[in-house]
Amino acid sequence: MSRAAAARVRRRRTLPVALAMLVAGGVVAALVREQFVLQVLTYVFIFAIYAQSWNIAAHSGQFSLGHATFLGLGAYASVLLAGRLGLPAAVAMFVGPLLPALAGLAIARLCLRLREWYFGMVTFGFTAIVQVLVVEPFGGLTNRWDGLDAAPLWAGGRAIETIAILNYLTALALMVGSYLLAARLMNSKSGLALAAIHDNEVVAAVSGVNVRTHRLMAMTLSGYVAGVAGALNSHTLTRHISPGIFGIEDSIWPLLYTIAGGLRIPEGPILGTLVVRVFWEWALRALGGFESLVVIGLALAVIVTTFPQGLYVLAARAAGWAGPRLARRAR
Amino acid sequence: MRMSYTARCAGAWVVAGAIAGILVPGSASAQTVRLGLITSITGPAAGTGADQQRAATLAVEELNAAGGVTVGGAKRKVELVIGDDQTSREGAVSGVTRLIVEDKVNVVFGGLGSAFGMAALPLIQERGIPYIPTPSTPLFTRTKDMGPDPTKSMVFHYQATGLMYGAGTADFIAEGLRPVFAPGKPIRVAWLYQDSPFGAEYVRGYTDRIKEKNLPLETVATERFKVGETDYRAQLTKIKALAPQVLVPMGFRGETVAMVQQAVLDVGIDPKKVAIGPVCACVDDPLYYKDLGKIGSHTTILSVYSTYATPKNPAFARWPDFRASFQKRYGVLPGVLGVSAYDAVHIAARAIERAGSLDSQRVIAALAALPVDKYVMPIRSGKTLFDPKYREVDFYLIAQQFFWDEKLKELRPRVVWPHDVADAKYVHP
Amino acid sequence: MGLDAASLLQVLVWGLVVGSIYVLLATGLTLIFGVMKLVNFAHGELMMWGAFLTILIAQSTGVNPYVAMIGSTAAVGLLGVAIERLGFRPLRGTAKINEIFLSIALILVLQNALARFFVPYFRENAQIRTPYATEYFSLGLVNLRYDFVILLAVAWAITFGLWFVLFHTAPGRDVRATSQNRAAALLMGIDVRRIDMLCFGIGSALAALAGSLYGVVNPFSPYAGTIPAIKAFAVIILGGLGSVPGAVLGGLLYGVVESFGTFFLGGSWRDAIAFVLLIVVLMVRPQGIFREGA
Repeated sequence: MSRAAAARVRRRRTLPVALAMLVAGGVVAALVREQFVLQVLTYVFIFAIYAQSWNIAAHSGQFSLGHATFLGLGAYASVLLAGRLGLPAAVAMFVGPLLPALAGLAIARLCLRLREWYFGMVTFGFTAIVQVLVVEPFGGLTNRWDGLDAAPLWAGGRAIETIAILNYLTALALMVGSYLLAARLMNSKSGLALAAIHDNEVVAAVSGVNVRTHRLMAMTLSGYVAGVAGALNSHTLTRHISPGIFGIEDSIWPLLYTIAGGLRIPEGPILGTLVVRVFWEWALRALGGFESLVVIGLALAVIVTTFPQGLYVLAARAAGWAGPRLARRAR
Repeated sequence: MRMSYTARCAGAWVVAGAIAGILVPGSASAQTVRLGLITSITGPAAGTGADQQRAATLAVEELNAAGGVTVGGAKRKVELVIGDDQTSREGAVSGVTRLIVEDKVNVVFGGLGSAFGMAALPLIQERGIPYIPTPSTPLFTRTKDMGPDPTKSMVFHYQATGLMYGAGTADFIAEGLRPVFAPGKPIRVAWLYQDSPFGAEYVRGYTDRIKEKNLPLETVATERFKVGETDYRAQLTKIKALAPQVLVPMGFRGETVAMVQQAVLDVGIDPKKVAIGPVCACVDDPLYYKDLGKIGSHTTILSVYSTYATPKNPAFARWPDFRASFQKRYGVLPGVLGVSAYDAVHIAARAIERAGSLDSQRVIAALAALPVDKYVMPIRSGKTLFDPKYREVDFYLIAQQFFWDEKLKELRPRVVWPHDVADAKYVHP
Repeated sequence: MGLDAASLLQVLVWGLVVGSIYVLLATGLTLIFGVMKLVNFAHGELMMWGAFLTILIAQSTGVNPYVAMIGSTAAVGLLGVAIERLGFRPLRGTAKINEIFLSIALILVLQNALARFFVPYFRENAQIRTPYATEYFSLGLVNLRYDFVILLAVAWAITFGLWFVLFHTAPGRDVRATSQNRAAALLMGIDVRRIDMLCFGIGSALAALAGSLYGVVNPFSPYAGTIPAIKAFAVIILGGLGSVPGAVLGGLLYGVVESFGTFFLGGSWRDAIAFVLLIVVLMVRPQGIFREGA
């Protein structure tokens, strides 16, 4: 089978997975009435988009330690477009993230010569710099530390329960969209180029890959997707944004979720966000307080030391082992 | 990475299983009155959150010891439900949602960080649950332009706002410090304040009051620092060069201790020439007296609750008893944020009794009409507890001066302002 | 603005003093990086464990906090050995980013385990009180607290001691060999795994010592270590990963730039201005001031 044919086959297989996610998500929406569960899942979908954006950058070997820059800029741009220019939130949510896309391009351009830790630290530094820019020179626009109220995505006299379902479904649809985008990218010729850059930049350049263009492209796209996640989060869940969004925590989440699920696999961020977040909420409820966070930390440490490739590969291996046996038994 | 089709399906199954994992139904009993405390149980603010939790627990125990709350003729026990905001926006949203939709609390109260309280506010607004927030920001009940916000009619703000503290700071400097440091002349004031909504409101209240009353205060510096910063020497060096007569270090407890230490010990701002304080009310906590040590002698604080002093005025009458019962229950004394959570429990209970029902609308109406009563936090005036325009409380601010106690090896305060409740005169070192 | 020479000189001194704390923090990080090529982001949490154990030992036994630091430093050093053995060693050979993941998990564990014991007693923060807390030398323009003198002496003694051990002793030669070429060092009969364990232990112990000294001059909490550790990380990136002279120069430069940035632009710019410096340096020298492993 030629490489192109193989890519086509793989591409075909992402669609059933996407469809399965939509159906499963829809079934949950139809059955579950607990507002809290819906809210946790909405969070999972939004942060899976965010984690996916990090995954796209990571696929090209650009491990960002400051992705909150893009999450925050997307949120601010969208909230300002909706608040000051009166754009509908549903439109602002996709226009606003052009700003973080631009920021992604600029940062990638600036960091072209930087690798690994050097790249990570500079991206982290940009969160601190962007935070001050948002608070100081643009303070008049952003209301400084007081922050801004975000226009709700779904409003207009609907019941709270309806809005919760609509938020949930929007987040689900966008998450599946970001999944298809990432899967297509990773399985495409560009994806192979990005993977080659990740493995060894010099070898990639020698084999004719335009390293520069591909690195810039990956970070621009990543910035845009992260921005959409930030905008979606502020128009649905938090509904209020403040410069605290450019903090360390928000830069850590995508890394945590993606690696737990499976690095550089399009399904990885989704599985990782879901499992880690659900476990997190469960631990907070079951144990409460500092003890729960210690347990969560230990669990994450065990995950990474026992399954360094992430939960998705673990699940896939388990299925690869069980699948043929189950099939044989069925026969 | 290549994956078999079976493997992909397996992934989907894991997803489905995980979703099923969180379908744990909540439980709510209709027999009790449920009060939901949203505060920081984990994260950097957990220390103060623990104080609120202790104080609220004490208040609920007191109510239940007296048989509970009378709702429509029947006594009902009070149940305290704790929501953890994890010192974060998302945590506050998740914690408040759980309190409302799962635990089905009748009133939500408490909180420390203004940003976290504000993130949860839309949830409370759309569900119309009575809310008694205790962080300081006036935005809980006002619009951005500081006017009253009718869309927040379910919110009753029980905390002195940054605006009140800022205004009080200006008043105290004009009435208490100027006669000592700059009689007949404008007094030179330098600020070193936290770059946060709280700090900004503080300074806004201060400048507004100077304009409003045309006070003879000259502000020579307004330096800022980021929350959690530990090195203030560069700002203090700049301030020292401007030769102020008053230095107002405004921040949380650890920040304030470090600011005073660095001002006096490192940069050499002489407490004999420069009045240090009033520091923020939020540091009035037994640990502040312990941490600051002897160098805090003669510095001042603007408070709404004092750990040790008791002014001779009926508004402050409940302090000794409250301190004694808290000390008896926990072996330590509370700080001001604990006190507000304690009061909030009693306010909620009284409102529910007056409403005669647990219906949110009726409890909100009862809160709006609640008369001024004896609470631990000192209340100056008002026909109703919450003023009808802003739904804020007019608290009695006092200024205290610290003195070193050789026997205790700790600082102790004396009330020096306002003059009608002061038990000592401001001492120029 | 007080643009007089005296003020500027003072700001420079404060920058150098704060920079010395960064140097102390960065030395431990750079030692670990040199040998293992990994960065433990939970370095800051080890710092705070050091400070907490110091205050605990000092309060329960009544000894001078500077004596108590010996115990806390040793304890956290052992903790570091355990972390290397159980956590980072199994990750050797997997994706680099996994090490960051593990250190984030460690942050959660160490931070909250500490908060569990810390918060009931000290609430938000505590400070280690020494008998000389309010004593200082007056040097005309600036005052220097005794505690700062001790901090500076310890920071520089450790930096020079480390340099001496690395460049003038046999174990130091093994460490440098491992740092330069792990495979070759292994072939030459050096037990690189023991070197890993040793360096991680010493690096963690240095974090604890730095934390204790930090806790004497600053209020600290279970959450206060994160920012200094990230700054220390920025310092070793600035200086060149794995380079001891780089850590020294980077730390001082960082402290001075922060101090002047705050003086001229205001406190809100403090963190940002230091990162601007980092970015500018890396634009010119993508490997930091000194090349890796120098």
